[in-house]
Amino acid sequence: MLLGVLPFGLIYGALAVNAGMSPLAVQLSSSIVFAGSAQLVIAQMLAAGGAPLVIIATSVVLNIRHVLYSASIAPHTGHLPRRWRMLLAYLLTDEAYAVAISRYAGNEKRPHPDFRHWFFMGAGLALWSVWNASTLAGVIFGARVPSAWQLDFAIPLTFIALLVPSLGDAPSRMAALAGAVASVALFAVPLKLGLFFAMLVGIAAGAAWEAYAGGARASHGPEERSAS
Amino acid sequence: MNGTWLTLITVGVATFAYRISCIELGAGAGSKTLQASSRFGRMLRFVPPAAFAAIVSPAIVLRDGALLSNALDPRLIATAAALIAALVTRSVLATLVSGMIVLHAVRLLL
Repeated sequence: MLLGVLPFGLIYGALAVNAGMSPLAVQLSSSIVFAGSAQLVIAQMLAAGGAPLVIIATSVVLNIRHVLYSASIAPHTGHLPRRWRMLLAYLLTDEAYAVAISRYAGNEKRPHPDFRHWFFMGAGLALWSVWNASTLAGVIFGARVPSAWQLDFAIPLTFIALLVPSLGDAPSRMAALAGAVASVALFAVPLKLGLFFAMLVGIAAGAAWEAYAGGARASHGPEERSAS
Repeated sequence: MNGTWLTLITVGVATFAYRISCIELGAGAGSKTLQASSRFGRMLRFVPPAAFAAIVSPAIVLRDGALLSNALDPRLIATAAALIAALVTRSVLATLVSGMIVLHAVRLLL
């Protein structure tokens, strides 16, 4: 888990600096936002001249998945004092969620004494430290990467690695396909609004496909076009 | 405060709000919100595939705003290699390394 975060942080730091963000903003973003995919999107959109409001709207849609993590973790944190809940919520990244929920899963009864929130915090703080350290390394090292290396291509490659595990079923694949096509089609929309709308199109297509396939599961082939 | 800081702080606050939402509302209230508007809950599931695919696709098939005309473009071949690596290894590092190696290998060979 930490090994996956390390290159992601390096790439984020290097690319964000090369995209023209100030090193301080790049570094503090890893504490303020603390969500790699949103941080990369912000850096990329700032470089492309996106308006702050559009970047905010796009990131707010991208990050809404954290509500799911919050709902899933909530039953395990209810007994903790507020300070703990605030800290664990701050640390609730994609990776920390994956680690924490696998620790909580399967044990409906709380063990006595229950130290699992310490495990959650430890994993979260380890991820936070690696994320910030690798960002710093990327900031320092990134300015010296020759452009012939085409490091900018590391952004789509990183997102491919994030995308593939999310393609588990047909509606999800439809959401991805529609999002990808819409994003290319809407690329020229001003203010970089295209990405925002493409995400909405993809989400709607996934939901439409699920409703459609749920209603007529029996005999329809996968080639049917959904209403995207 | 310029646009960059405004963006970072707003997104940071929104992200923290998402992360703490159900934790503070309590498990019951949180899951009830997600179930009551179950349509919303079900749509959340499609955020990662839709968002990640939308971020990836223009970077791969567009150059300077126009579709790539060459099916053997190094970026397309590198993308195929990265997809295979991601499917097989599920590792960010392996996906990244295979994609970059194939990109430069194809660029040097073609």
